[in-house]
Amino acid sequence: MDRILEILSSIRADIDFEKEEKLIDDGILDSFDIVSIVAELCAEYDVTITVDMLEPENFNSAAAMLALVESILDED
Amino acid sequence: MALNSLSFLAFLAVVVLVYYIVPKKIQWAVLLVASYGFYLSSGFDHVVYIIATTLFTYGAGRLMQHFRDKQKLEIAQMGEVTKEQKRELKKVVAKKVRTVQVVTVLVNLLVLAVVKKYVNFFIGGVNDVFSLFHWDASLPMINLIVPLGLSYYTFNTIGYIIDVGRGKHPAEKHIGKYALFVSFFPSIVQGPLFRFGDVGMQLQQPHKFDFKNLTFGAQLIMWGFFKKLVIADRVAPIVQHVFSPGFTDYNGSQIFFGVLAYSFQIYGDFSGGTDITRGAAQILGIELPVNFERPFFANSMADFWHRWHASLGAWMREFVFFPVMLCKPVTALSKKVRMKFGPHAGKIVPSVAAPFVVFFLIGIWHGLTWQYITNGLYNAILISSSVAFAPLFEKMTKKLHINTETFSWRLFQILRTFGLLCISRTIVKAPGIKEAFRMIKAMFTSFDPDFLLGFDGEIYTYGVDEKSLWVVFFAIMLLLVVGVLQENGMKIRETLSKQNLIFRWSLLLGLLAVILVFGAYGPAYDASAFIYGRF
Repeated sequence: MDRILEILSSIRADIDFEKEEKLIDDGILDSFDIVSIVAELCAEYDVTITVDMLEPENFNSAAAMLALVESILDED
Repeated sequence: MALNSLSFLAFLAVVVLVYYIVPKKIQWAVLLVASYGFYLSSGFDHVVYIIATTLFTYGAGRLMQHFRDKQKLEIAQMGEVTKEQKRELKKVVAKKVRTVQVVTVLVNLLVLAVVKKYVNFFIGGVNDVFSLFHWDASLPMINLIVPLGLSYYTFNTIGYIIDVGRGKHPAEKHIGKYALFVSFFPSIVQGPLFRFGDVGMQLQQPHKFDFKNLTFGAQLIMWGFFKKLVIADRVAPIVQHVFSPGFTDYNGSQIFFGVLAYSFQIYGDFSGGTDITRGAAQILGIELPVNFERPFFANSMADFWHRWHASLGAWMREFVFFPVMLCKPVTALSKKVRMKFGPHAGKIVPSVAAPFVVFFLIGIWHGLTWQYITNGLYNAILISSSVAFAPLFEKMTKKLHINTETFSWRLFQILRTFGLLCISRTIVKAPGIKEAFRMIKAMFTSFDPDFLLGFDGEIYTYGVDEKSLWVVFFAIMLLLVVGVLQENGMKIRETLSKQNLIFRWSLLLGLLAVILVFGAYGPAYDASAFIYGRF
């Protein structure tokens, strides 16, 4: 979890990713942020996040993003 | 049958009546018959295209589903399988699905390009080259009938094919129910665009009669008529007057008057039509996506595109923007730049790449002309630069001690966005691209406030007399007041429903009277002329 929080903070230092749980629903992250996050997660965890995984529930919080990465790793 | 005609209202009334009388399990069939009936009223030739698109995309969806089902069956029959075997099988199936997906999307786009005469743009180019070299040859132009709502149902079916390919939902088995998704009658004229997983499923579900849906839907239809008839159609003569060839006679303020009129005309026309569509669907218990969220209150161009034709924006975001942003070359480049120059620089790469692709496509979606392409690029440059220069703007506002949490700052942002939009509107509405640039230049160089304030009375000679102009002025004021209330979180119809009967009915009958008395009618009135219907 610490690593993912570090990644997220490097992209948007102004957001408290530990607390926020509606990053997409509340419009805190924009489309450009999502893309930066996806690129970082793919590089860090060596996973492929495809367009169809870009659902709000997968990006609303740091925990949701971690769950997404773990589910892809599990699948692999 | 135009959405703003009495015949449409009568048609809708009959459909609603039958829809709620028949057994619920065949309600979808009533809508299908009604949709094809509505479509046939636009001409028999048009139906051929929609049937072909329906059959083709239905077949493609079923084929992709067949590959998926077969894969599941094979995995089940294999018993114990390693992750590696499973992955290999998935890869093979994914390739087949992707092939069907790509071919179907390309064929759909090709039909759109040929029928909407985009191909003629290239044929014209080739013919220009021939004449440049004095070759005695020319390719014939292709001139087919553009069927009603072609762009809308093509985009909806492309969305369906991509969603089935991505496994978001299974392909529809029932050809009739799928045909309804493609042809649903209120939205076939000018959208909004929608997804099968949302509206497509709603169309199949049984719907009980709901008095609230009836009243709210009827109110939305009435509001749409108000926007279309009292605002859009009333200002139309001004637009026609200013943007006709011969504009060189006008100065900047006269052109600005025309652009202002066009801004309200296009909004009243398109959003009014969408209100009628959404209202009609609501009466049937179907909730269509919101297409307009008070675009005049946008504080940036990016915000404007979230508020204007939002269903097209959502479509582009899902099927163009994200795929472009997540394609390997863009993400690899973005990462390199981020590592070297920091997170903001990394964000700039996709922010430059994607808007150019998206707005180029939005531009040519409206028409393959240099004006629409230029307008697309203009919007892309504004949005890309707003992301690229965001830190600079932030520094500037801090340095100038500007409080960005004030009404005055918000007002400045709204007016700035509107100014930028006026340029955009001029680019597409001018008689030609050269004329557009001359008109924009004139707006900055020869401005006569007396004209706009009506001191010399000339403003009343642009096809709309003084009385009509005052009607339009008050109608726009009403529009803006309602917009301010909505911006502040008021749900107008909900609030209205809680008011006393007399007050509520007085308001509604008042609005009806305004539409009947001040709506633009007359012998030259063409009820079919919805601007976005032609896209």
